[in-house]
Amino acid sequence: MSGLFGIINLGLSALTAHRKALAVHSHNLANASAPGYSRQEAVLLANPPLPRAGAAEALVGGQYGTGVRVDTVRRVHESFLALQARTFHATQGRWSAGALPLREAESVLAPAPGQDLSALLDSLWDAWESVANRPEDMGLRAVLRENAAALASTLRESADRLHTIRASMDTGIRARVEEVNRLAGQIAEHNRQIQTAQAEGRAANDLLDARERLLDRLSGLCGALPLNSEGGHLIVYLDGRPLIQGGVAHSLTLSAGEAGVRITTSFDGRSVSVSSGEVGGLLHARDVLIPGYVEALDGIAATLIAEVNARHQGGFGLDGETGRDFFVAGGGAGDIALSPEVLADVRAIAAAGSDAPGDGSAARDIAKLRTAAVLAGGTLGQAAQALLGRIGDDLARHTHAAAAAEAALDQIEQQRQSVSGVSIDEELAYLTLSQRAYEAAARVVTAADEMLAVIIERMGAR
Amino acid sequence: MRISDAMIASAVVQGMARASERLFRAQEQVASGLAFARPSQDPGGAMRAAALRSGVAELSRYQRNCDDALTRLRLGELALANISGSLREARDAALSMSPFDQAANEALADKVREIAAAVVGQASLASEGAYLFAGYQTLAPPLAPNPGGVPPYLYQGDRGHVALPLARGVSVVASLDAAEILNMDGAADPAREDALETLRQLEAALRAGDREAVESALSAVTWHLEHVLALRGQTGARLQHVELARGRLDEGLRTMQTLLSRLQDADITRAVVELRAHEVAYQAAAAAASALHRASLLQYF
Repeated sequence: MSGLFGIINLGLSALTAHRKALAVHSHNLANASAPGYSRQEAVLLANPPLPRAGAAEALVGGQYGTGVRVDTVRRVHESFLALQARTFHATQGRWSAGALPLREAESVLAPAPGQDLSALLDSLWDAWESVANRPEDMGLRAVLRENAAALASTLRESADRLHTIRASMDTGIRARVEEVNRLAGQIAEHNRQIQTAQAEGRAANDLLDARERLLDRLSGLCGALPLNSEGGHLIVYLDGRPLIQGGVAHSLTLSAGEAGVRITTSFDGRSVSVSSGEVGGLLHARDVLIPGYVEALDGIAATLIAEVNARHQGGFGLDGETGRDFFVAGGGAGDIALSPEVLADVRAIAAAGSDAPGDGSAARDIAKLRTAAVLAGGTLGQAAQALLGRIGDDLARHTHAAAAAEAALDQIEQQRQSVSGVSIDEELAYLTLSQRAYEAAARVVTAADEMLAVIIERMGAR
Repeated sequence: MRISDAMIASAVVQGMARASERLFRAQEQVASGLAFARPSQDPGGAMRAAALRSGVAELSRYQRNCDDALTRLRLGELALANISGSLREARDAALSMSPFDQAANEALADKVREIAAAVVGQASLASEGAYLFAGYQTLAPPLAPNPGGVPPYLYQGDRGHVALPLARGVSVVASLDAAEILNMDGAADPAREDALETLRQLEAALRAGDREAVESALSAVTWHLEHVLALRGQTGARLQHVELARGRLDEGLRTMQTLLSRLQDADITRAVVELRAHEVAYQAAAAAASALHRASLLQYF
């Protein structure tokens, strides 16, 4: 049976435990809006009881309680949800980052309805047909030259802007790879601190939260996912090779060229393929999608140049000359231009099949390119429309996939918050409970003190 | 389910963002009048719209070709009408020859000379700086005076024909040629003189008072008149053909523009109703957020 001093000790244990619990709730309230914070709870446990006097404790167990203690401060967290969230961070990062350059490419190739490449080609054929109808009309020849120059200029600018978008992505990719390296270093440092704390028997709750935030960002950047995510010996893999091994971080090195971007790891010096996260999305757009658009533009420009020139060379200008090109021969979208003769004098436009000024047969042949299947079984206009559909489809796929991943991520984050998030109402209720328990414990100490006073003051007075 | 404050905040932010995005889309539709402004909003629709716009451009071109052909053919028909009128006057002059009054015959000869000049004028008709009846040699008049005098004019065109496409694989010859109209160089009948030579012979016969020669010239003038009338009939038939083609193109263009409009234009009534609905949804989301934040245990501490 516990004596009066034992009761005071019991009260003291309760005062200590509830003061600690109060501190934990205060910590939760303080971090209620901190991103990535996992709420903590003080796990109160009754102290081991004392055995009855004269009884063997091993046989009968404790009979008299000795108070309470905070056994541990538990981090309320669900690892499975964290892993799921990281997977969707990687997916969302891949599609949303990939959509950024595609949105720019879309504005280049389809500035507004009716102002795309297909419409410019229609204007060109129209101008050729007008010249075919009235080849001696210098005004119509000038209109044709202006339309052709506008088309050539649009093709050049489009190719140039696509190259610029691609080049500007290098800066974005480089910045993200540097961020991956920085995060890897920070996670490795956290791993070391967590290892130390756990070795000393301390809960590393806030460190684990901080590391989780870094891991979320890391997976969003490059899709790297950790194994053994709870302890300090965490290993993070990227493309099957370790990026972080406990307290050691391996760095990535980037080299960008016209052929593509190469990322190598300091783990074994070999290249890693990053197909997920923001870096994966940007790499796919840079090295697969945008070069595809440039190639399609080049195909359209090269076919346009070759087909128009082939017909133009056989025609006669108003000056009676023949055998001249309309476009500078051999170019692509990046350097398509009108031939110097046509630029200098519209009479050099070979609209005639003979040296007669009213003969528009060569111009008519060129105008027929509007409906001629000269590129991959279709017309040049159809190729331009297909390119429009392709960029639209690619961007729509990215946008929808990013939205789907974001919705899934929101769902998981909600579940994560449901488990780990701080509820102010809940914390206030527990805060009140701890406060009242603390007051009650103080009353226990006071009561024991008064009882001691009876013994000391009254029993000794006789 | 346990509800944390971060969940509430996140739900509020997401709800507002979604409502705001829907509101923006509806505003974009109403402002632009387009169902989709960028290909990524409807890739298939954007491709179809571009193809339809291309089709509209092609049909519009054929429409303009029809208008061009109609202009050329109407001018040609007018010239043929004037030439046939002139030849009819020449025939009347031949028929009016007097066996006794040579002075009257001289006056008729003068009239025939004027008729020949009028025919040359009609054959040299030009539009927008280009001679219409000189084939591809549009920068020079089709007829030039012959320094030798017989025949009085030489044809200096090249008999080229302007064929204008009215549809894929369908063209119409929209030009007439002075050589064919006036049988220059025997273009219509190698066995006969050209119309201007015939008029010259008629004029000479009238001045000479040669009745036989006048009758011979009269027969030739009659042949030329019938030839020009036949050409006029042919031109009228072509005009009718082009007008029919123009009508078909108008109809095709209307259909294509209707399809394009259905595809790319926003249903404004629906878009405006949706805009209102999204505005209400946005306000509701804001009101819900405000109500959620008011309900807290903090109110009682």
